Amino acid sequence: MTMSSEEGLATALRGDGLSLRLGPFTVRLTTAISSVIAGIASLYAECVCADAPFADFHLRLRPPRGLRRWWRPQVVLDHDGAIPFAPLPYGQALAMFEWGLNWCIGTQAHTFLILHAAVVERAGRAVLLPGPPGAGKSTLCASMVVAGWRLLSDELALLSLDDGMVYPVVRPVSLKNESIAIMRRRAPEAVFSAPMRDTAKGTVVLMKAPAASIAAGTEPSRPAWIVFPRYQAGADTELKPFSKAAAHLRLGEQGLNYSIHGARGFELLADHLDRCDCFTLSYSDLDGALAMMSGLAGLAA
Amino acid sequence: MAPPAASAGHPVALVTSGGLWSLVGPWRHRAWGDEHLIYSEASGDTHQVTAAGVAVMEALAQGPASLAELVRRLGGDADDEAPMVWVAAALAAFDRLGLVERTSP
Repeated sequence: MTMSSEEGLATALRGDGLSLRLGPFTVRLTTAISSVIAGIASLYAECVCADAPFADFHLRLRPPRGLRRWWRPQVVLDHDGAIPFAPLPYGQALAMFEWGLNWCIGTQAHTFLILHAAVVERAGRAVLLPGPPGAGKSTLCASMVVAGWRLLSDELALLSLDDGMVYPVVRPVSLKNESIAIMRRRAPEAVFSAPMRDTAKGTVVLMKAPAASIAAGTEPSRPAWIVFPRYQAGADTELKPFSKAAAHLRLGEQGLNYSIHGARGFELLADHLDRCDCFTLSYSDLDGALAMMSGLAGLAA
Repeated sequence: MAPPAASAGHPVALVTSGGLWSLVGPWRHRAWGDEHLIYSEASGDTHQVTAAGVAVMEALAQGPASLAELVRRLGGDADDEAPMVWVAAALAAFDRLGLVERTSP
């Protein structure tokens, strides 16, 4: 069986599970849900690991038990035999995989300090784009990736506890609502999932990571900049230096496991801030924002 | 009009009250220029403070002290009301943040 073929991949997903190598993690996924099988085949085929002896996370996506599944189809995420979330509508199964995997990494991968931030890289230097939902983080991240930046993650910055590097966990970029049409226009050749409508975040479409980013999926990068994006309709594009102390406080508040690391987390975050320049980026025009980011990295716009 | 009554945690009340001040637990400090952060290992909270606030924490790190002793450690004159009120205000603020505590005389 060729694991990269959709047929083999579907057989594994329906059977004992399919292992995906995602940066430092191996995920074993089992499901018979056709939308997830199609999504994994189109978005994750290069990450399939046929001979993984061990998995960090065992996930199963399946309909909940009981009669309800006949008249109101739903999906639940089973993680090592536990069900950590309420069921979602069946059509949101692929989004549930993404969100469930984020939760697994954020709550269990404590060999990293994990910040809620997109991470992209050019020429060996990474920029972290932290931001709450709605800040325009994923749209900017996706646009930078389409413009040639390497994607490390659109959601989770994995900061090493040991070597000062940020590690990739390359997965699709999660696009929401208006950003879907924007990215379809900017990257018509990119691979997109089917739209998942009426999720808690509105309509969600996953955009496949570029092949080069997937191929470099285990190579860490050195953080050089931390940029807090803020999309505001009509706003001028403005990149302003930002206080490192305020950045520390904001990153700590948004960190997924900052409190777990205690004093070590405080020092580690401060160490990263010692080495990074911090900015805020207000924007409404993506091309202007991209030019700003290119200028920051010393690249021709 | 009469001045407002000083509550137990008010700096003016602290100036006139006794007791020893001490740190609640170990703490960490990092600075970038004139921006300072303090991390309390007791609470797990991070706070942004001024350089003067860091000086108060460092003075208390030498050991528990009365307000007057703390003012002296900071190079002030305990007979002068201004530094006493200033340090008392810092202690009151740090008390609220759970960074310092006062033991009864």
